[in-house]
Amino acid sequence: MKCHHFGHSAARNGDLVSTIYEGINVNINQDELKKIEGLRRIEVTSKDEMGGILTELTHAVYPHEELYGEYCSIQTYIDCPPEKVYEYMAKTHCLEEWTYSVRDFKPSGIRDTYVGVDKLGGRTKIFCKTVANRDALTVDYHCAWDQGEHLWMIYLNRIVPAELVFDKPGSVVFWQNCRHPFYNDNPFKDKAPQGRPWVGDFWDMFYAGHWVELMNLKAILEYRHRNGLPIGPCLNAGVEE
Amino acid sequence: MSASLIAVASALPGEKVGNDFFSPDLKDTKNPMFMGTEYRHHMGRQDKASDLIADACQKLIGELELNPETDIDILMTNVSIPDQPFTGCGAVVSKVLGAKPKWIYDLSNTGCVSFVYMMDLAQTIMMARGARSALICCAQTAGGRIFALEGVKTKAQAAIPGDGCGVGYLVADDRAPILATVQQNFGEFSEDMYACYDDGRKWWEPGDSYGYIDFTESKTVKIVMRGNRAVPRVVKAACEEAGIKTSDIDILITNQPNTFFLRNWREALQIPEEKHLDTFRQYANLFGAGIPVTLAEGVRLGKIKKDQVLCLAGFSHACDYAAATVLRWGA
Repeated sequence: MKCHHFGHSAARNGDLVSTIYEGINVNINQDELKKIEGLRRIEVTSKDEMGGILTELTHAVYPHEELYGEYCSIQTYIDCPPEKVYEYMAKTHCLEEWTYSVRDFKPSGIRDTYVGVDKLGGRTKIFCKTVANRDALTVDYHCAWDQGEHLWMIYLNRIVPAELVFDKPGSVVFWQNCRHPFYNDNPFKDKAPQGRPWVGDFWDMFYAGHWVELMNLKAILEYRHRNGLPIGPCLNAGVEE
Repeated sequence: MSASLIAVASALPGEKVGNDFFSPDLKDTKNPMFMGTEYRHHMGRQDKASDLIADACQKLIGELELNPETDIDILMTNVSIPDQPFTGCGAVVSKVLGAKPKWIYDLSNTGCVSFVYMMDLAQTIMMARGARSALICCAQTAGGRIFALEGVKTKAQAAIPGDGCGVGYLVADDRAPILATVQQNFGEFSEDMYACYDDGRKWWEPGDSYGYIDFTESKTVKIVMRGNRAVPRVVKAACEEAGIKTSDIDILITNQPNTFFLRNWREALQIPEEKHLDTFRQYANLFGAGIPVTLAEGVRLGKIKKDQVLCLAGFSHACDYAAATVLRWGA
């Protein structure tokens, strides 16, 4: 059987939504899928066998390395509407409020990119470009220490209306990082201040560090929302010295 | 004063039974839940749990040169599928051994962790009533009596139960002290495992269908998760009461329902595999007999040495009982 590919239809607001094929009979091509090794689908893996596989995969505890070795994924509920969370997170300066040690953002001279100080690394420069999508409610911080030409430390955030997933007002924020190879080996060593430890050496504490910062984000947003304050970040505008 | 577990012995019925005894599909079953056993033993139709227990006890009596008439104050048994309803088999065992115990108890609860419960009960009777010695006996008989039957042996889980018996001898002194025992009872989970007949009859009613043991299907996942948590939790509680860290455990012996529980418990307790003894591969799931049989095997093979800290722990059924005891091995 030949495998046909059907396109998606675009909804009015520009979102891609699932296509309903009216009036034609569309079936998944099982034969094609059977050629792919290692798939676990009910057509070839019985429920009984699947039960055993799932039990094997379910441990009482998971080593830290297994959970956070290559990825650092955390999430939390925030009692603040998703559009406000987005508005806040999409402004790069908010990082000066809710991160532990990123401060003093100024234009870097590189397009769309700020430069600040990551006090975790003493006087380490941190470059940051915020890439946000209001429709998708995603806010990604593309960052790097020491140089702003190759932004490889990428913090991916997705805001989801809690109405959808928890049936209550507020937001859920998913924050993910991937262990880019540069974390293990800094290719820009010549740009680093003398004797400064490398950010990648802290990878094993990323879960903890990000968790603390996510709790900062939650506390700030919930405080401002609860008290009807401007969502921020609260900036003191002045003439640059 | 403490009670000291000073000797253990085991007995296994009949010849070992290989995996080919079961459904031909079992040999190449892909379900990891039902893997990990190569052999088990089955009670034959004429075999009696009381005889199996007496066999194991005779080994102890011989090894310790006991006088059955005077050296067994307490006799306790737990048999999964007993020889007789109503009567239990403790009295029969005493008859076979020629023992004259002042206290005989047949426990029908606490299944896979009954050895720990019986140790604690024996210690309690010693302290309260001045008993000097106790023979505690766990026999698992469901393998041959249920899972080897024609209509049941085709089930994927039929290969997992194995029959056997483990017995322990306790004396009222401090030579191998029990440092702490913790029992946790969860009545809310008490009806999630039950005897089941496909025709819907009660177990005491006549009928043609085969009976087996089942779990509430919708709760299977929850039962697995309960088991995952229950044993590490009760081991930690017993260690805390004994004033030791879990890393001080030299040898851990648990019940052995399947390879995943064994793996998950030692992972959760961060106890290396070589310190966690089991006999799952050769004897399968021995239910309550698992702990004393593995302990006896460990002693016999020299894996357990004098003064080592032992932890015996487990949970039963759908996790209605969990218990752990920490002791210093003195034999």
